Order: sequence, then structure tokens, then C-alpha cells
Amino acid sequence: MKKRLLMVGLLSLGLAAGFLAVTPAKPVAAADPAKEAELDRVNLIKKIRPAVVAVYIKDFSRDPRGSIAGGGSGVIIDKEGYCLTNFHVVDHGGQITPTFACGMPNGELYDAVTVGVDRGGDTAMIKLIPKKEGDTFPVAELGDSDTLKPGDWTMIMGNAQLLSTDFTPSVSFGLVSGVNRYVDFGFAEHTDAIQYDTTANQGNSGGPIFNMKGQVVGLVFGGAPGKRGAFNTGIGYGLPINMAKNFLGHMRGGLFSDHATLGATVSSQASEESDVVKMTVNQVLEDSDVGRRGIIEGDELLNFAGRPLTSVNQFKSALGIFPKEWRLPLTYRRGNEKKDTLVRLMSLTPAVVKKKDAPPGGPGGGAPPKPRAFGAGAKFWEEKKGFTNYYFNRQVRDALLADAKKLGDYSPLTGEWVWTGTYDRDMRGGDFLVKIEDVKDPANPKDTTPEVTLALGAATYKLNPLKQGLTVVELSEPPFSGGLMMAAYQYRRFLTLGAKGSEREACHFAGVEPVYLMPADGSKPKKYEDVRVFAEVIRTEHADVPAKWYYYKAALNPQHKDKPLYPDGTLFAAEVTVSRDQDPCELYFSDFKNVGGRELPHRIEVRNGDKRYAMFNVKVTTLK
Amino acid sequence: MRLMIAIMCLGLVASSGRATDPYSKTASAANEKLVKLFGAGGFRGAESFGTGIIISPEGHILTAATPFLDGRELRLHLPDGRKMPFKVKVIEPEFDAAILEIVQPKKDALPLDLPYFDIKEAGAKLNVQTGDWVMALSNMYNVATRDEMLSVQRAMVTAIGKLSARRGAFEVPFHGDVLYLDTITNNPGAAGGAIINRKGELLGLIGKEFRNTQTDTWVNYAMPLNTKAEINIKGEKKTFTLAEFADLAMQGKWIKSERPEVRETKGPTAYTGIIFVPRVVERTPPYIEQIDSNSPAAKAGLKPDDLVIYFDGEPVYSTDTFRDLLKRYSPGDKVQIEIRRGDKLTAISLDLQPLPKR
Repeated sequence: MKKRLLMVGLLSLGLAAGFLAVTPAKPVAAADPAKEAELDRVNLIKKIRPAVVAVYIKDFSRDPRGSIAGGGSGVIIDKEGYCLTNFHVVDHGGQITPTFACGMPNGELYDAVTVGVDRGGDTAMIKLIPKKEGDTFPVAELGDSDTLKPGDWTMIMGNAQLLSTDFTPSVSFGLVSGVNRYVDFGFAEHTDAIQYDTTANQGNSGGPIFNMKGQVVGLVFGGAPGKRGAFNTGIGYGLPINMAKNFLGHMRGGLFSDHATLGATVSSQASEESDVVKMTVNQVLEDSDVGRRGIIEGDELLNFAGRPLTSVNQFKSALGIFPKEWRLPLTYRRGNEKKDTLVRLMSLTPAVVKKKDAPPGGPGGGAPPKPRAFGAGAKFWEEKKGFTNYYFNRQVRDALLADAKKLGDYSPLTGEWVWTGTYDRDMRGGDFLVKIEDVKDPANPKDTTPEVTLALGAATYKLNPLKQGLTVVELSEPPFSGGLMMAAYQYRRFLTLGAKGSEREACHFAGVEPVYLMPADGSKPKKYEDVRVFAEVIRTEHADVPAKWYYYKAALNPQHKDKPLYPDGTLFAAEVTVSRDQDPCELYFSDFKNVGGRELPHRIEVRNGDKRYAMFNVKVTTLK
Repeated sequence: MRLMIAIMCLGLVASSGRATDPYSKTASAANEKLVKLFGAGGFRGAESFGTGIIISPEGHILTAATPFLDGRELRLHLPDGRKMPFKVKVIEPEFDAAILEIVQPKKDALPLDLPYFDIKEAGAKLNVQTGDWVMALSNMYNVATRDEMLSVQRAMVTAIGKLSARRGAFEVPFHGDVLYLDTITNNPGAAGGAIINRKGELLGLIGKEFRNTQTDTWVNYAMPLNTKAEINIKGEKKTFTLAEFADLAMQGKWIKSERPEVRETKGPTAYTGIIFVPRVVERTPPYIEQIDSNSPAAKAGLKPDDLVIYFDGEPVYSTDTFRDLLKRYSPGDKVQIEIRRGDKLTAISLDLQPLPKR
């Protein structure tokens, strides 16, 4: 009897316990959305926090062991430890701070080295050095800042006021107050900025702005301190992650990248009483690509790179997120006619950049002492004029050339190169031959000199590309090609000699650029975005002729996710510029077939300006 | 199987219970009923830009009684980017608010048909309490022009109470109930902006930048549409709400109160010890001629021949500007001034003192 009672007692207790355990869960989940949202937020923070970095600058001038001399925040975007932060975190009065100490939320301190910067966008990439080779880092996912709207929730994480002594970032939560803001601080201007009411303080600089999916949509860069001298004035600014994405290739390649100008000045034309705004071209710079595309004073700009242009601020924001030399679509109106074209952006002139670079603090008595490289990052630091960190440029360039070599090693083929087949040009066509050979140099009979022969039907052209005193017209032959024979010569030189083919160590990785693959029938694409392919670029310079070589990489082209166009490392386009005041000769390679262990193109489109020069269908390639 | 279903149910509950994001939609809908205001000026150290709320389809606008409304060349930018001139219809000091009217540039233009807040209805059904989440929309810092969207901030109503504030040494004319907010909403250019709730309903008008008379800190507040003021009309005292004022004023039925408008005509109450060069022309450059001994200026190290460039971040164009700016401060305030001495710019901080008895 006693036993039975006990059993029952236990059972009911168990039931009661079960009941107790079950019931409270229900109302929490169902009836309290606020609590639910809070829990979601807390869990999200837990998930994204590990990739947030506290960046510390060390100063060795007073203490040989180094003391903390400032810092900022960052976010890791690649498991090898590549981390985004602000340029102004990395900048040391006009010099680049080579190395940092970085704290991770797991409590570990890592050495780091500066990789590349985008000064105009106030963005920099640094790399944390793993303690053990092969160790990986937690990564934050990048979002799409173009989808942000005023009123969206955001979270900012980072090393606010350098408070994160245990490297756990501070979190703040707030709204997006505005997007596509143009901000002029006097000493620096920022385009396409995200404005937020989320609290950010000194030390948050370079830290991530997350959307509520936990994706990085921007990086904190500053606020409007205003006349009250307070840090938080209810207005803070961040740079959009989509701008940083445009510069990722440049920064990863150790470049000191530059923003761009269209090559024309634009003003919003509206009379005092008028209610319609027009963005009108005031002046077109000589030698600008936009000028060569035929845009003239008085043309009304309608759309740039997919954004409608409704104010000067919007124009600046649309333009200010791209690196120089990118080609982007521009729509404009002249009279009643609407036209669109691709324009190649120009570099901002150095004089303007210098003026804007004046630090806000005022005169401080000369440049500060050169910052010293320290720790494990120091061995990845290599200074070179024109680069942030040449080590990473060399690394990316050599990796890319090694990938390309897998698709064909041309280094032994230093002899005669001949292509034959048929060509189409403006309704005409026929057989063609391109031959590059080394002939006896008439000036110096002991030596040889390269010679290019081009036969198009009955016409034959010859070029001795290294001959002294050639005119631009001669270099650009055949006419309207932009210099096809020079391009063929540069192509052989680059494929056989690689980086060594450029004088003065000019061969370098030049970042990522868009390439537009025009329809095969020679028509204009409906939308330039549809035919855009992102490519890794190598730049060479031989015989004072600069050239760019475009390599395919599937990871840069999510639109080809299911079916990459080419294997990684395929050289699919090139641009050879015989004269800086005219359009380069563009080559587009396709229809690759394996011949003798090399992937050789069997279709080569040659373009100049915005027109096709000819399409070459290669039947036989003989490379000796 | 049953477990699966249970989990699915939970999953559903969780996703439907999540605070989804109506803020961006609500904010952009409200933005369609707000304008950016611009005036000439900026010479008296005050901003020449602000924000306004459209309260009629023909283009009546409710805003704060900001000083630039006194000036000429009044222009506004509609949310679609159109630029329009406007005129001031009524300024009511008891509410420290103004009603504006868009002037169509062409006489024969069709009447405007703008999206607007129905001020009468909004005032009648207003329901706002301490602890409510609200959104503030304004053109603070003049960051948006043309068709660019106003800045949106999120704030909590931390208290509803009487406004006790000052600008410089002058008390604010309005003393009714205001919504105190926990976000820095009252920035330059924000005055006249809107406070809305999550449904997009208009709750109040963002006020001008003021300091709290007790704590001397800047206050962030808005005037709810149902806030009341006692108006003295022809010797008779009548109480109106802000919404009633706006509604009557836009119909041209408002009789302005008889209280004299508070003008900043008194001299400064704070003392620096700076004596400038004689005021020979209207825009006499603010060169220091002499410094009173033992004065704040003497303690701060100011010297004769220094040229004052900035006063608390505001450019000083003349000795008159300096005097005007000083009027906005009280003894005990600390101000930053920037001077040019020789070729160098120097920032100096001054502790203002009461005027010495002479």
C-alpha cells in the first residue's frame, strides 16, 4: 500500500514537473512579441559578434615595448583574417601605419598588417596574422547596402571609446536616418553615406553596421559633432558596404586606390522659380573618355550606373563609389534624343586630393615620425611607391599568373606566332593573317627586332613596334583599330615573358574591374549590366605602351553561379593604349579550344571606342 | 510526428510574433508630407534652413517660428524635389509656431494637390503617452535637399511636461506641455519637423533648439498637437490647442494674440571684458582694441589686435555679430572663441561672467 502511494506520488510529481516545464514556454513565445524580438536580437548579437575586431595602434616613441596610441574597430570578412576598417584608422598623418594589434571577442590578441586602402572612401583592409598557419577566423557576411531604407533597424558594434579591454565589442541599436547622403566635412567629403541615429563614438570608427539579418551593410566613419561639441548628436555617418565591395579587389591587392571623376563638370540647372531640375554638363575635360564618347556641353545627364540623377548630391553619390578606370553606363539626353554609352572614369587629379587631405587639427609642426612595423605582421610589410603594401600586390599577381599558367604555359614559345582565319568587318570580310616574328634589326644587324604583319584580305600592314620615332598614327594601325598590331605584339610579349616583360617592375595587379561582353552580332546590349563580367586585372607597360589584361574569376561573378563562363585564370579580354589621348585597342577572346595542352581562343573581337573594329575567327594558331 | 508539428507551430509563432519592420514604410510615407525650408541670412548666427509639415493639399505648412522666416527669399523643396517660394501667413508667439503658404510661381498654375496631414483630425484623435516609441523626421543639419529624404530618428517619449527653456538669456515664449524625447532630435534645421507614431499618425512639431533653464543642458522636445496655450484676444483670454491654431490660421481665421513678440533687443547680460575697435561702419571687423584687466578675456589670454573669427562655432563677421551672439549666452556659460593672431588661428575658451556693476 505504502509502496503504491509512493508510486502515485512520484507520478503526479513527474506530471506536475512536466506541466510546469511546458506551460511557461508557450506564453513567452506566443504572447510577447517584444520579448521574442529581444531574444532574437540577443541571439543575433551572439552570432555576429565573433567577427568584430578591436584595432589598436601602438606607439614606440616613448616606450620601447610600445604603448596604445589610439585605435578603432574592424570586421573580418574572410576566414584568412582579412578585415575591413577605416582609412583614418590606418592613416598616421599622411603615412600608413604598417602594423596593428587586434583584439578578438574570444579574448585573443593578434598581430595585423595593413594590406590596402581606399582613401577617398575612408576604407582600409588589414590582415590578422593567424597564430598557427592554417588557423581560420570567424567571418561576417556582407549585405547589400542598396536595399537599406530610412527607418530600417541597424546595430553597430565596435571598440567604443576603446572601452573593450577584454575585446568584447559594445553594441548599439538604432535606425537608418538617411541613405545616399553626400557629406562635406571641409577636410574630407563622403559620398553615398548611410546616416543613422544609432550611437557611435570615437573608437567605433571602422566598425561594422549590421542589418537585422546580421549582415554588414556599412562601416562607421564619423558623426557631425556640431556646435555643441558633443560626440553623439543624433546623427552619425557610415560608408556603404557596396562602395567597399567595389574596392575589395584593389585593397586585397595592396593598392593605394583612387576615386574618380567623370571628366565633366555638372550642375543642376533650374531657374530660381522653376520646379524642374536638370543635371546639365557644363564643361567636358579635354582627353576625357566622356568627351571621346561625344558628350558635350549642355547635354542633360539622366542616369549613371543604374541611378537616376536628380540633384548634384545624387550625382556625386552615384559617381563617388567607384574606382578610377571603371567603365560604367551613362544615359543622357540631347534635344529629344536619349542616348546611352559606357564611360571610363578618370582619376581625380592629385592636386585636388592633396588640398583635401589637410588634417583637421591644423598645423602640428611637420610630419609625425614614421610609424614602425612590429610583431608578426612586419614580415608581410613591403613598401613601394604607389602601393599601400607591395607584398600583397605581388602575392595576388603571382597567384593569378600561376592560375593562368595552368591553362597554358607560353614561356617556351618565344619564336614566330601566326594566326590565320577569316574576319568580318562592317559587312566586308575575307581571310586574315597576323604574324609576329623577330627579324634582323636594320639599325643593328647583330640584333633582332620584332615585326608584326597583318593581312586583311588584300591589304597588308606592317609594324616594327620598337622602332624609334613612330607617330601615333603609325602605332594605331590598322586605322580605326586603336593599334591592333601593337596589341598583338604586347600580347605575345606578356604571355611569353609574364611580369618580366614590363620595364621598371611596372607589371602589377590592378584590382577588379567590370568588362562588358557585347553581343556577338555587334549590336548594343539592352542593358549594360546584363553583359557585365567582373575580372581581375594585371597591368603591364612595355615600350611606353600600357596594357591591361583581364582574367576571369567565377567568385567575382555570382551571376554565373551555376555555369562559370570560363575556368578561373582565363585571359578573356585586354586593352592596349598606344596613346593616352585616344581610345585603347580592346581585345575580347572567346571560343577557347585546347590545342597542344593550351586553351587557345578561336574568336577574337577587336573593339575601339564604342565600336567593333572586326571579329576574327581563328582557324589556325601556330606558336613557336 | 507530433513533436514535429509542435516545433513547426512554435516556428510560425516566432516568425509572426517578431517585430517586423514597418518603420521604413511609415517613415517614407510621412516624408511625402514634409518640406525643407530655406531662407536667406545666416548672418545673425542662426540657421537659414528648417523643416515644415504640409497640412493642406493647397500647400499650407505648419512650422516653428524660426528667425529666418522674418527674412526674404523664402523657398522650400517639396518631397518630389520641386522648388517653390512661400510666404508667412501667421506667426503666433504664444505657440512659437508659424503657418506658411506656398506661392505658386505662375499665377495661372493649377492648384496644388499635395499629400498632407489632416491637422484637425490628427489633433482630435491624438493619443501619446510617456514611454511610447515615436519617430522624428526633420532636415537637421540641412543634410537633405530637393527630393532627398529627410532624416528619420527613433525616440522614446520620456516625459510629458511643461517647457521651461531658454535661448541665450531669453526665456522661451511657449510654456505649455511638450513631449520630452530621449534622442537628440532638436538639432540645427530640425525645428518644424514632425513627430509621428508607428502608424504614421502626426503627433507633434519638433521645436527650436533651447536649453533647459534649470540644468542648462540642451533639451530635445516636441510640441504635441493637443498642447494648449492661453491666447489674449482683445482683452479676452481663450485657450486653444496647437492643432486648433493651425487649422484656424490656415483658413485665415486666426486673430493674432496681443502679447508683444519677444524680440532680442536687450543688450548682452554676459560679460567678456573685450573692447572692440570703434564701430565706424556697419560691418566693422571684430578687432580687439583693449581688454579689461581681470576680465574673462584677460584670464583667457586675449590681446589687443586679435581678430575674432568664430564664437562658439558661429562665424563672427563684425562687432555687431559678436554682440548679437553674446546676447544668446548667460553668465556662467563657457564659450569657445577662435581668434587670428598674426598668421595663426588660436582657439580660446572664455568663462562668461555677470556684467560688472559700474
